[in-house]
Amino acid sequence: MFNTFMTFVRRAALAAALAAFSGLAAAGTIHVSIDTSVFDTDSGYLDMYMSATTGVPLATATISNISGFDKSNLDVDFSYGFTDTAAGYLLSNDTLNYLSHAVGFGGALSFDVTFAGDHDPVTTYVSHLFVSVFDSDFLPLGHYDPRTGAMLDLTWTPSPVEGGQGSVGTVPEPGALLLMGIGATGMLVARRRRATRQAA
Amino acid sequence: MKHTTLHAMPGRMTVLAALLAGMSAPALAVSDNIVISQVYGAGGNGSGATGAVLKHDYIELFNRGATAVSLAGWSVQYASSSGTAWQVTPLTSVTLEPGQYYLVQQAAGSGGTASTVVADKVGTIAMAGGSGKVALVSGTTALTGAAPTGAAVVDFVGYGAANAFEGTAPTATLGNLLSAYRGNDGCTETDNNNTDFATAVPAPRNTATEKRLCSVTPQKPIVATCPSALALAQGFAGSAALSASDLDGIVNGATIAAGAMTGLALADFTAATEEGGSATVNLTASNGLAVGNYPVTVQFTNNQGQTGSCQLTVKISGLAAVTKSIPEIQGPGATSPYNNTVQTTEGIVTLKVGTGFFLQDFNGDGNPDTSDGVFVYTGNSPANVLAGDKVRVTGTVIEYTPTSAKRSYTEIKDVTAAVVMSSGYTITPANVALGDDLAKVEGMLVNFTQPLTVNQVEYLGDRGEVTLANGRLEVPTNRHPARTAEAYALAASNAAGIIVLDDGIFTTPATIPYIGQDNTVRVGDTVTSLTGVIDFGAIGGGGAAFKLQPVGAPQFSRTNPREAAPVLAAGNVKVASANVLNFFTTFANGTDVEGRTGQGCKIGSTTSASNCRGANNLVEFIRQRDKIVAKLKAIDADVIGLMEIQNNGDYAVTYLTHALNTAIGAPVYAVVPAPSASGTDAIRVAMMYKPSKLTLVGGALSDGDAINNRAPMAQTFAAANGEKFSLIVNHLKSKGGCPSSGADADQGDSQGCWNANRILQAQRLVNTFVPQVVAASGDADVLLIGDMNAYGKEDPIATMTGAGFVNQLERFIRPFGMPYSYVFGGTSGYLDHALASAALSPQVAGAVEWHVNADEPTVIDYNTESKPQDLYTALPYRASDHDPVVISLNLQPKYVDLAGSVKLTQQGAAYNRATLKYVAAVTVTNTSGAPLTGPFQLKLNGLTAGLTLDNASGMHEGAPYVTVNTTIAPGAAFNVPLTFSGPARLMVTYTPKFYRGAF
Repeated sequence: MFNTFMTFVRRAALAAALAAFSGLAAAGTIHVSIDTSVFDTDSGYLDMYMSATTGVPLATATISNISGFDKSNLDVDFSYGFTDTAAGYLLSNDTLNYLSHAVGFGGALSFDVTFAGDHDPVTTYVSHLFVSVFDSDFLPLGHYDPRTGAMLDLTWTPSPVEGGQGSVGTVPEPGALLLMGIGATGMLVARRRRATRQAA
Repeated sequence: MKHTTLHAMPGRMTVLAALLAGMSAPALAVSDNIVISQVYGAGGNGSGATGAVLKHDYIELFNRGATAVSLAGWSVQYASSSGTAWQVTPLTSVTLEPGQYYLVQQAAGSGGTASTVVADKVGTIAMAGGSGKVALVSGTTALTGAAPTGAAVVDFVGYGAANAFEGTAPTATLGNLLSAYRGNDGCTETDNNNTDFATAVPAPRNTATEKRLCSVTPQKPIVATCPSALALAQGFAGSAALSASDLDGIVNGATIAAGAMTGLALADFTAATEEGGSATVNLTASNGLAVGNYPVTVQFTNNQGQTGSCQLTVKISGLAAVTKSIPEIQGPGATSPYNNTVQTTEGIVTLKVGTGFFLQDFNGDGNPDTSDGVFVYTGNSPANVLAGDKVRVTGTVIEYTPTSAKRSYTEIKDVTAAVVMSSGYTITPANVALGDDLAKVEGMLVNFTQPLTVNQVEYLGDRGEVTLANGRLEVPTNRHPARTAEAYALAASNAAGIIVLDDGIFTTPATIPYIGQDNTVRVGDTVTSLTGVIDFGAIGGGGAAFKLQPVGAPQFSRTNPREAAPVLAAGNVKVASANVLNFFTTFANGTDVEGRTGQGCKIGSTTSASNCRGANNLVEFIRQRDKIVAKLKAIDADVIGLMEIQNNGDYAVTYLTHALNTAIGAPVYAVVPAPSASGTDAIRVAMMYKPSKLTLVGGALSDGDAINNRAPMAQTFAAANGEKFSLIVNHLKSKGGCPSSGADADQGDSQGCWNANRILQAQRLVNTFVPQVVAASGDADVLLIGDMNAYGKEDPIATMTGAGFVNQLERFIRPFGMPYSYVFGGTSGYLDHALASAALSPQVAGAVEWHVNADEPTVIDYNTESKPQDLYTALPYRASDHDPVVISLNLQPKYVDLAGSVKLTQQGAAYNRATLKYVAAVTVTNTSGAPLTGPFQLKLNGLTAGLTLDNASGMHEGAPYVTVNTTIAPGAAFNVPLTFSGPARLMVTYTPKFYRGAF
């Protein structure tokens, strides 16, 4: 069981290499930028959602500062449970949610994620924000975690004290990324061959 | 008032009774001074060596007062031990002078010879030999009731197991060769039959007997001791040693009072130096006496003007020539080549014993196959020989086979001459070891070169016997399954490896031999300095064995010391199994602990005092009770399963529980109320427990099936932590009381009798009763304890272990030594068991046997009869014949919620669009400060309807769980991944619970 989990951590680290982010834990906001030039297809979908359940302290994720795609690209048939904001969207961990945008590949797709929420002295629940990129056949692209299907898995751990600042992390944790020699503060990552695409 | 019966408050009742008697007694009619001074009821009973010598029963009266008393119109009366019908023998008009005896002869038996003492009155009452009731009545009207009282009853004696008596208890049980004597020649009278009377060889006294004034302290007589004969060969001088003593005088002279003649003289007279001391003198015969028999009377005198004499016969015979040497008589074979022939042989006396002496060829023949020694049997006429004498013996060579013996022993009997030739010889003992063929040294002086181990002390008190072997011998089926080659081999080696250390006398010893530190000798103790003669004969418990008659004092070492209390691993419940050897509150004499008379014990539908198996009377009961209470108090168990407690509802067990609480000084123990069935035997199993430690869960159950004459009893308990277990107390059918044929007869496989019956009881237990108990308790934790009457590897125990029960004594004791709770026939094994169900076994912390009983001599127990020496103490030792077993349970819940020791964090779920699975995880963090070791169970309560946990290990109480086997360091965390199947767009919701243990 433990070994399986370790394998999962390692794979998650590779998946994270295609998405880059900054501002970890600084103010609950991180900037995500995805280099889509590595994909050998012209268009597809950028999907994201926040994990949701009931009976846990409230947490939200605000998507803003969108670049490389547009709110008008939102695929309304596949999207639900979000709140529109002027600059983007608001997702909440007490409501099932999903955002799917039709996007063109070739440049960078970027946006900011800002977490906030209630405190929780016993850390009942860690909220996750999952980001995936799919081709037009809904096959996942990039280095994704085969378990979740997500390219990026951001976590929000509530503050243990009222009025404190919750912490943002990734799966795997940043420390693990540093150990692997990948700069956590870099804005872009190197091009990679499309090695992980599943056979059609 | 003479007659009081036992009562709960005897002092007060005696006073009341005395008042009543005083008011109704005619002033002149009754004298306290006429008493029953001797009672004998076995006239003419039996035959042979143990048969009665006297032909008639009798009741002897005595005037212990200072004035003459008329017995006109009086009678002696008799009733059986628990009877109410009184037979009357009216007395003749006679006046008893002070100090005078009066003999009332009663019915005759078929054996014995006519009394040599003339009866003063002849009656026809046939009295019982062992137990009965006799009254002296100042009238001739038959008494009524079992325990008559009133002014007419001048004196009353209950003997043996009588249900009425004066004082605390009846006299001891009488026999063919035992009558009850009132102490101090009849003068003692404290209105207590038990202490006023002692038993001895019957010797009736009558009105012609010399008067014995109780007001005068009598002078004790001179007691002179002579051998019956001084046998010499013509031409050889010799002497016989004579002695005399006087308890209150000094013997200071000796003369030949009759038979003096030339050639006979007294020599080397030594006067006693103090009162009670011995004077000694030798009767010498010169070498000039002619062949013939010369009776001589030697008279001793003392400083009180008394005389005392004894007779002996100087027998001068022509010296017979030696016809065969001792090795020739023994021969190399199993029996003598000269069996049933008269021979004359010669050798050195190595040892004199009670019924003869051992004679050994001075040089021997050098042939290891022929013994150089032989036993010369002289019966009750000891020869005038001493160890070291060279003696020429003429007698008949015979092969003596003791009852049940498998071999014979060569002896010389019907000795016509035992002539001392010279003195001062020494025989060097031959070195032997156990395992050697002792037949080749029978009758010889030997020395055991290795230390031997005491293996049985059952017959130490009544026979002076200690069974010895190399180490402790184990019952074959205690170690090996019955009918295996290993079991048969062990039986054979055990039988060949035993020798019985005897004490040189063949009657109950007046002083118990070999008793050492703390007035005991224990099985397991070690003996060295074992030099003596190899005898062969009957042993205690039946059969025969080689016996060592020691010439010096063997040295005993307490290598198996007593243990003050059982010591075992700690747990949260301590269970004991104790066979209390017939704890009866109703006594064999028909009385009970509350002083009631005419009581009995129940077997099936029959109630009788003869069914009572425990104490004979209150005196014995108190001794028994105090030992058992001391034992149970030291064990200090939370629940005690008892065997052999009287089957009188909860009365006996309640009494014992109260006695234990009294000894503790607080109401610590309570009785587990009896179940519906307690079997049809006179004894039952029972339980007592500490309510402060255990709670009863439901009522006790029992299995009254016909196969169980002592129904097993079950009770479910809850420990302080709420965990339950069920205790089943058993007492399987005994190995004794053998049927002569059929499956229950002794199969010769070391399992004894009734093995087939015990197998059925064991099958009934594990196949029927245990499932009933488990169904009632809803808990699989079951402990079987009790006296299974089956040793460790016997078939009934195999039946239990075959059903999944785990033998805790093999588990906890065998790795360190032989488990045993009982000693029988010189071998040790355990009849008392602790078997745990598979579910309970991992929760057993330890099990021990407390060797407080099996290793101790029977003679130190509570019984009072047939004990020349009373070594009783109120200590636990030999409170019973079985050792108690003590088991420590550490009852644990199957699983524990670790809510206080861990933090559980749900990782929000993802939905994988490719695999259509929800994936999540729970992060477990050890917040306890100590490592946590699995197995762990992560359980998801309240999981969203429609979701299935793919990696569930199982379901518990309707919720899926995942089993994790790991150890979590303090502060460390690990993730338990979760994968769910279900329709899309479901919210993954659950409440995680984390347990240690297994569902």
